[in-house]
Amino acid sequence: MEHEFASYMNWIVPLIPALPLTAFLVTILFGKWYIKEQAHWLPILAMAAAFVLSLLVWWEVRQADEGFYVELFTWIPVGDLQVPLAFYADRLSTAMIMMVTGVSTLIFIYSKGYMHGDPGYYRFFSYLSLFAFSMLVLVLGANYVMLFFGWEAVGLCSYYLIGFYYHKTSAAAAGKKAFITNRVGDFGFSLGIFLLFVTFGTLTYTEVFEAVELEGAGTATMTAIALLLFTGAMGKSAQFPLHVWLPDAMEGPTPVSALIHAATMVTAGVYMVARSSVIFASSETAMLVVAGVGAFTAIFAASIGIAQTDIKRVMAYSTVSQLGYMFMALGVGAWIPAIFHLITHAFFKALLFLGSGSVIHALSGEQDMRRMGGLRSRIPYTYWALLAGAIALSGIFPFAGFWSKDEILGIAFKDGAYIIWAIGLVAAFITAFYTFRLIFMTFWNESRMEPEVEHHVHESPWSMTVPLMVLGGLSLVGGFLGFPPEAGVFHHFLEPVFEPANEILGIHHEPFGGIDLTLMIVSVAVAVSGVVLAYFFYVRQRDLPEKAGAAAQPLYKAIYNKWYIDEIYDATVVRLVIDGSRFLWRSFDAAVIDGIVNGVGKLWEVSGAAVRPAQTGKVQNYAGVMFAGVFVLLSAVIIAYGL
Amino acid sequence: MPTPDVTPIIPELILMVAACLVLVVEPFLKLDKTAVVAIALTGLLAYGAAAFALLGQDMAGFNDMVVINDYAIFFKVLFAAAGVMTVLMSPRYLEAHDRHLGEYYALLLFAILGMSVLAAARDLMAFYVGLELMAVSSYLLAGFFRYQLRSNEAALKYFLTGSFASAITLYGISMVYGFTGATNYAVVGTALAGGENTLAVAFATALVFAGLGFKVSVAPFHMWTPDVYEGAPTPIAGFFSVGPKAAGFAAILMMFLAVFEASVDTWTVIFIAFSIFTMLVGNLFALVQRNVKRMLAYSSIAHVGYLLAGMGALGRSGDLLAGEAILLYLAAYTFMNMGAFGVLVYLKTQQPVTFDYTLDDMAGLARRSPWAAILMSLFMFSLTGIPGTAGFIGKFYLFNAVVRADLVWLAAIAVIFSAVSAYYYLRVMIYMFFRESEEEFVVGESISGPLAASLGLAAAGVLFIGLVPARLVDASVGAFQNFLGL
Repeated sequence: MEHEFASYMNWIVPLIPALPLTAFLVTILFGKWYIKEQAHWLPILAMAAAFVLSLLVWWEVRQADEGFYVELFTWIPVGDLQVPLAFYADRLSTAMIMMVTGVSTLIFIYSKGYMHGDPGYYRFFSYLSLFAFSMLVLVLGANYVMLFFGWEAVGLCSYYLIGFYYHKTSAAAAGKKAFITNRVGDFGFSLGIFLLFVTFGTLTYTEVFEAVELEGAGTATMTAIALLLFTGAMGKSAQFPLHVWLPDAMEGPTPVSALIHAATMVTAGVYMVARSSVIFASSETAMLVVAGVGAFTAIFAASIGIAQTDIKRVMAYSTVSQLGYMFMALGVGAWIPAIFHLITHAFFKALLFLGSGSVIHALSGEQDMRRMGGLRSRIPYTYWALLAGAIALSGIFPFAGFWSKDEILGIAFKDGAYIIWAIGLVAAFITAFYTFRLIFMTFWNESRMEPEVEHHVHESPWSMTVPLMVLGGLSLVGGFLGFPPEAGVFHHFLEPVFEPANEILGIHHEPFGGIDLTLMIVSVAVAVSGVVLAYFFYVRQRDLPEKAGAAAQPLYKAIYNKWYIDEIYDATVVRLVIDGSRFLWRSFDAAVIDGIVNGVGKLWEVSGAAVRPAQTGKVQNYAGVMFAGVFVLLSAVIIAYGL
Repeated sequence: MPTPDVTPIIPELILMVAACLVLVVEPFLKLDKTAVVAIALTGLLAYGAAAFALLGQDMAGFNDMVVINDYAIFFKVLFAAAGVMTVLMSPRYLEAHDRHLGEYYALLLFAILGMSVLAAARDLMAFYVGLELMAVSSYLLAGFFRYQLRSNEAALKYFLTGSFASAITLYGISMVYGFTGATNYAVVGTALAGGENTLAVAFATALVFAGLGFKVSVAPFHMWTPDVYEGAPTPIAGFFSVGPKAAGFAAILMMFLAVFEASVDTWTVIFIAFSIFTMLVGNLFALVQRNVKRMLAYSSIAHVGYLLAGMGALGRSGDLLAGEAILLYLAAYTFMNMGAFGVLVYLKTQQPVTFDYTLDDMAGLARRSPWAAILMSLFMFSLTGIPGTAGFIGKFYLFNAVVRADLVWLAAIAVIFSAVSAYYYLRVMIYMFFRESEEEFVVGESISGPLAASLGLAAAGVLFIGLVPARLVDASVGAFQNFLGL
């Protein structure tokens, strides 16, 4: 059934990315001299308008099974490669743009308070707008080239924003680390896109997926394409072993961590895999790799989270771990729960980040949890909001995280992927533990703050607390989008998108039953026991952590040092590259290349200076040279004709 | 005698009327020349609009002397754009030099009229008339500051060497007429293809090449270029660097594809050889210039070298792609070079006495007028060929065509020269952003509206072509295919 879309869709869909783009241009051009402290208005209004337009798009799209395609013009025509600048709003991208614009609006408002008085105020808001534009192009683009454009552009904004405090060495280094790690992933990603084009001759989503469904291209090719694309996702969504950049990215301002490194950009990889569900479903190997990497990352990152003392770093590892859950879900064909978890995670993780930002703000920049404590009564709004986020993250009924996480675990179990289910369950336990460790260390017990800091503790302004409360509300009720489990509003909305992939996989999910109820009770029990354990460790018997740490000294040290991944990279890749390049520099570059380059430069300079007198300024000479030229030309013609 | 159908020359008629009106109105004006500027501007816009409205027409008129088709229209629109930018740049600049006279605009319109005829001509006579109209108007424009020694010198040099070049062209044309007894391109082309006088034809080919080569400053016929650009009023120098050049290439394409089709092997070699020499000379001399205006003159010679490589590829492969790439490149080049000269116009208008176009005068510009520095950087990036700008798209398509014609080595040379050119383009940026000016410059009055519009148009053109090349690619593909269906 072809659905007739309302004609206003033709301009509101392109307008959604265009609004933040305009905000970016105006703010960056006029911010420094004219807008200055008022720089937040335009970006916030543009984002809010984009959110309203997204709702309109949703209203239209929910009535149709297929997506809405609008082509503005041919962007790059080079031979066979015709890339149109086109947008594709189907149910998946609509879900994404509602999340992106909604969460962005809240974070923009929050930034007004958080960044107040920063010398780079206008710069911050212009980058945020540019980021929102890029992310919207990424999810709304109708082909892989636009996806790639958005992909690289969000990366670029992320490096700018990580290095926002560029005068801080660690911030600059973190920006660089993010850049290099992502290059590795993006290299694979671009190869995947090339291979896709070579195989199918097109990069437009609808055409590619149709070709895959109808003809396919051999398992080996499909596996190669899927794995190459997944390399890109591993970089952008920080999956092991390319996860190292995300925790360091916390050097950026906190709203950035919330927006980019928790709620939106890092989910680009998940979106891309879900978007390419048909391609991934065509290769069992690829699905297995996705599930495996996801599950391993989920438990691996969660274990690191236990021993971190920086409040933002705990969140960062938690993000890596939750992204692992999403990939785990994609890998077992639980497409909708993966996207569902993506959305709920966006709510509660943005909340947790903004909440910790509020804590940091209140404590004049202190980020070490060992120097916090007792803040419960001092900043009550922040406390309750953070608590809501923590319960959601831990997966406790009835908060948002419970529904989506439980669904992933349930489907894994019912599909017979028991190992993955078990890993997920253990990771859920650890998650509950470190999340409440954070809550207890920060808000409970007596204060361990520096007297100087304690003196200044204050609740944040309304522009910061209101977004917190909204997100807190969403974390509380957002999960009911997926109620009843596996048959909620959300599932019905997304079902048509993943039908083709499910057909290839031959998946028919059983309806909700007793087994699901049992699994639910198990996972809640696991989460609660994590919380209880954290309570014992950090409230009741506070000498326990130290004892446990001492008892399992090597293990504790290993997780405290993030399983030494950075050190391993330093010892292998980085050292190899540095030594190798030093060798090349000394032996090859300095001697050969420099010699050539300097020689060439010298040659130009000398010959340039040598010919300069040729331009005498005398018109006789000019005419002489002209005639000499004609003479030589004619002589050459005569010689060529053998006269 | 039946009345001739004037449809093919409607745009030219509009231009002529506007030019004459300027001359008529001018004596009645005192100091305020707004009326003249408005007439010139309206004339140019109407000329471009009329051409645009005729898109899709394909007809010849006046005994097949001129045609109107998508190819001619492509160039007319391009000339209109260059003309509009030039006119918008001029008023305040001329006022600053106390030479704001109406003849300036009339001469400019006549020059464009000549260019327009040149691109539309299908007859050697019409071609020559167009060429001379363009040339004579240009000589006068070059010497428009006639009380200035440099401007005077420029005009005289341009006139003398230009006359030689015209004579050489004419000599070649007369030989062609001698062999064939005809002046119509198609007739001549057919006759030459059937004839035998191969050496003589090659001779005529070489002569016409030399003559037209002078117009577009092919080395070694280029030596007038830097002196004339330096001496001429800066908006005119900018116009010279794009307008007559585009017209010259419009004529070159037509002349060598239609008239000298028979000697394609000869002229392919000539174009390739002169391409290398021109790239070498242009880039080499540009490297040592400390005067930005002269640097731009030499850089324009270098760009002609790249275009000649495209002609070589066209002759070698007969591939449509090369012709399309040349049109694309000319359009991209028009906006970026006009823009670069426009920034110089702005600076000179602000400081008519102290600013002398040297690199040192540009030092610290980013601090004094950040907008000018940013725009100049955009145009320099584009001239270098950085992705995202028109210059990149132009070079990409042009070098791609050269590679497709199995001239990989030639493309490699062109790319190497492009890399060399980054040195002198980016040096301007280094001065603007990283050097402090030695003396305190007083920032004059703010930028005039028309000049701002002109720079905005150039910048928009550069970015539009750079980011969304498809429209222009389509236009040049349409124009060139239409042209081949002669």
